[in-house]
This record gives sequence, C-alpha cells and structure tokens, in this order.
Amino acid sequence: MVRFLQAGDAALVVEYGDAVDPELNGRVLALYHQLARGVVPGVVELVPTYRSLLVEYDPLVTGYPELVEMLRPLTGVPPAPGAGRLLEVPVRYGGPAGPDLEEVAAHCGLTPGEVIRRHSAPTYRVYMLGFSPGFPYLGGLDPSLHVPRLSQPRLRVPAGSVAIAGHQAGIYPQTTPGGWRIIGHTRLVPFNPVLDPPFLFQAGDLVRFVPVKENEDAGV
Amino acid sequence: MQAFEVISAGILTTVQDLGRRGYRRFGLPRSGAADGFSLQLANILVGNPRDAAGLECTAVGPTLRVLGPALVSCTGAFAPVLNGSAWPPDVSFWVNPGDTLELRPTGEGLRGYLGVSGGIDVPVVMGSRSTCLKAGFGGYHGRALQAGDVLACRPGPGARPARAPAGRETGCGPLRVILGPQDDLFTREGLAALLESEYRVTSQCDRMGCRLQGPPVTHSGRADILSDGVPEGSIQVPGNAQPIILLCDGQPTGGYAKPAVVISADLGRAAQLAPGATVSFAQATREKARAALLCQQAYLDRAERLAQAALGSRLYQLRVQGRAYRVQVEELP
Repeated sequence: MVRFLQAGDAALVVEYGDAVDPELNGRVLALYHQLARGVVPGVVELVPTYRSLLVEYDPLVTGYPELVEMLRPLTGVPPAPGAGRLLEVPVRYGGPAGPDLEEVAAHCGLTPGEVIRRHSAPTYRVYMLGFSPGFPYLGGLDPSLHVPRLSQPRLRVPAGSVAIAGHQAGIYPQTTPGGWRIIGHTRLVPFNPVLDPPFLFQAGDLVRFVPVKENEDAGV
Repeated sequence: MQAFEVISAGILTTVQDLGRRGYRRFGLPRSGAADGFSLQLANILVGNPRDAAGLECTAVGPTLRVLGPALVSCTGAFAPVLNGSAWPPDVSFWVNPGDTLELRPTGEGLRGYLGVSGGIDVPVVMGSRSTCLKAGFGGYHGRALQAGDVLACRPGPGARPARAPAGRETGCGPLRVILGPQDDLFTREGLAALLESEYRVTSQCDRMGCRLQGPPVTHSGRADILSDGVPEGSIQVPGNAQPIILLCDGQPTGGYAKPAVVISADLGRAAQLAPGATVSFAQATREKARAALLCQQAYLDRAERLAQAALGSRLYQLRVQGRAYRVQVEELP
C-alpha cells in the first residue's frame, strides 16, 4: 500500500513501506528511474531511500494534488529485473586499514580471517546514498557479522574506510566523524567532484568486496 | 579580474550561489546560500543574475581590501562599512582600489551576503560555484575564506547603484510550517508544544541545522524511523524531543521523525536564527505557503525592475554650500 505524505510546500514522500527489503526498495527505484528521466514538470530533486522516494518540486510550477495524481499510476510499475550494475571493491582488511577487525572478530566469536571471508562473500545491494556525499548504504551483510556501533564515535574516520554497523555495511567517501566499525580500507573513491560522473555508486547497484593481499595494489 | 583581498575572514565566510541541484540523491547537500532570498536581493542590487556567486558571512563579518572597482551590496543581517563610514544595507554602491570594506552584523540575524557586480569568480563544480564544506569542494578551494585569500570577480554587467524597494515582507512572526511527513508519530501534546511554544536557539547552529531548546515535542512511540528523505526546512526530532531545523547543508536522508517542514518562503528566516534567539512555529496551508512565496517573488521582481530603471538614470555630483551631494536623476516611464 503506497502512501503519499506531504513534506512541506515543496516536497512529498512516496512511501512504499517500513522495512529494509530488496523487493520494496526495487519498487522505490522503479518509480525513481521513471521520474529521473525528467517526465514530470516542476520536479527538481529525487531522493530514493530504503523504503520511500522524496520528490522535491518547485511549488510555483506544480503542486501536491497534481503530483499525487500524476505519480499514483506510476507507483505500480514493477522493478526492472537485473537493473543494477555489479561493482567490485578491492579491500585491504585489518591492520591500520581496518582497526576494528580484531574487535569485531572477538565480538562475533570468529577469527579475523573468517570475518573477512564472510564480509567478502555476499553480493550487497546499494539501497540508498546518504550520511555523507556518495556514502552507499549496503544491505546483505551476513547476520553473524551484525555488531553494534561504537559507543563513542570516532572524530575522524579516513576516507575509503570499509565499515559495518548493525545489519548494514558501507564505505566512507570523505574523512568524517563516524560510529561504524572499520574493518578495512579501499582505494576506490566513492565521490570525486571533478570526475564525470562524480559518484561511483548509485542506488540499486550491486557490490562485492574483494580482499587484497598486504603487498598488492588495492587501487585496481 | 582581482576584486578583493581578505584582511580578516570573520567566523565563517564562504563563496555561495543558490546551490547544486540534482545531486541530493547521491547524499550531496544543496550547499548555496543558507538565506537564498538575501543573496538574490544582493545580486539584483548589483545587476547580476539572481543566482550569481557572492559571499555569505556568519556572526562576524570579513574585512576586505578592494583591489578593483566594483559595485557591491550587502543584505541579510549585516551592513557595510566603507573606509570606516557606515552604509545602509540593501543598497548598492561603488568601491575602488585601496578601499577597505567591512561587513558588520546588524544584530537582526546570523548571516549576511555581499553581492559584487559580475559575481565572485570561482570554478563551477557540478553546476555551481557554491562551497560544499562537508566534502571540501566548490567555492574558494572548497573551504571558508582565510586572511590573505584573493578573490576575483567576473566582468560586471554595467549596473548602477540601486536600492531595495520598500514594502518588503519583514522577518517577524512565527515560522510557518506544514505538518508532516511524520506528524502521526507524535503525541497531540507534543504537536501542540511545537505549534504553541517558544523555542530558544542553542549554540549548536550551523549551515547543516539549528538545534532548538524548549518544551518537548514528544513522540508517541520511538523517535527513530527507518531512514527517509529529508527536505530542507524539515524539523526533525531525535529521542530527546528537542527539535532541529535542517538547513541548506543538511543531509538528504535521516532517521529521525519529522513532525513538520518550514515553508519555502520562510527558509531564509530560519537560516537567520542566531544562538540565543527565540522562535515559534505556526501551522500553514499549502495555499498560504504558495501565496507567501509569490509575494516574495513579486518583491524580488520589483527590486529587479527598480535596479534596471537605475540603468537609465544619471548620477550628478552637486556641491551646495561646501557640501558634496550625489544626485540620481531618472527618466520616468
């Protein structure tokens, strides 16, 4: 059951549900992709999330009732199967690159090697981007690796840190404060404003982590 | 063309235009002027397109040495001081090489804007000249200005000094909000507190958001929601039941419930809330929000017509009984 929610005079939320679920997120992205083609006049920004699409518009061009009427028939469009690209992310695990690896292993009752194996086994889904520019919220983490956030967030998490928290995995695009557990580092850059496109990931992409050896170049 | 050398930078002075569009889906904030209305007015007064880049200063303004002739204006909660003489805000005037231009707070808000004919010349990155402090790019080398920085200007449009028209919607009264998207996650008492009480602006107040303190906006259940899109102007309420107004550098997604969103026409006023100030909220309808926005646009249109009319005017310097006067003569339509 899709809900339309007013979010001020210049935005509305199309809410598909309240869960982290690939099928539900697929429906959000199906609507997002239709609107991203620029078919609806007055729409200025789209923000897809796990379970909803924020549609920002120019209230002098269009309005809430018009948009709801226009969007409602589009919400039923099923997600295109296999739409996401598969991206491989090389990761140097542990050591200075992944200062929390040992603690995560201890918390989960696993060896560090087993944490690496289980972290690099699944294919993750980019549910949404947020927190900081280009930060991918990845779903699909092995349940045996679910660990709480740090009770005291770090003031400085280096850019490229590969981290986990709860049921989520992510990659820090910028050096920022952060409370996720850092288990590795990638030299891929999720956001570079002078590149075209500037962002490495987009919602709906699939991601695999590939462990790199100590003396291998992690830069691809 | 060199325009200014920064003698002192103030607390947080950045190059801003109206911000980046189309990248919030990647987690990138809009950036741009926190009070977009004031930047637009500053640009109009110097004959620029409304979205040209100017300077935004915060709480304490910069002092600039003028390196090249330019028409400048100062809007928002600051007023200019040229070579030690105070000028009114909301007018434009010429500055010349060797002049010292200082922006001083008027006490009526937090942020001020300097408009410069031609606009500040920094590279366009991802469609905008604005500074993104969070990711450190855009604007002047991706950072706030520092003493010694030299700013360039693009060629000016050949404007004339102008003043903002009277009859502006003044910045008083409660901030108008539209309830939602998660007003249903708050108690009746919590919503009543939000709409009927005064809140004090805390010192935790930056371009990302403005934390308030006052009667609790209580949740009916838990405070956290599964991450959802966050428009500018959202009032989000974490577990401590104290509201935060999100501004132009706020992240596009967030996991706190939002009882209401400030209307577009009041975003500039929200960005002018200074620590220690009080603020209250009033519920508005979409129709009222639209009328307020149209009214603001009409004011800017009027300011633009007036500035253009100044182009067809002539300036004379008169000397009467030993005192010099600048007289502007314009042809009436």
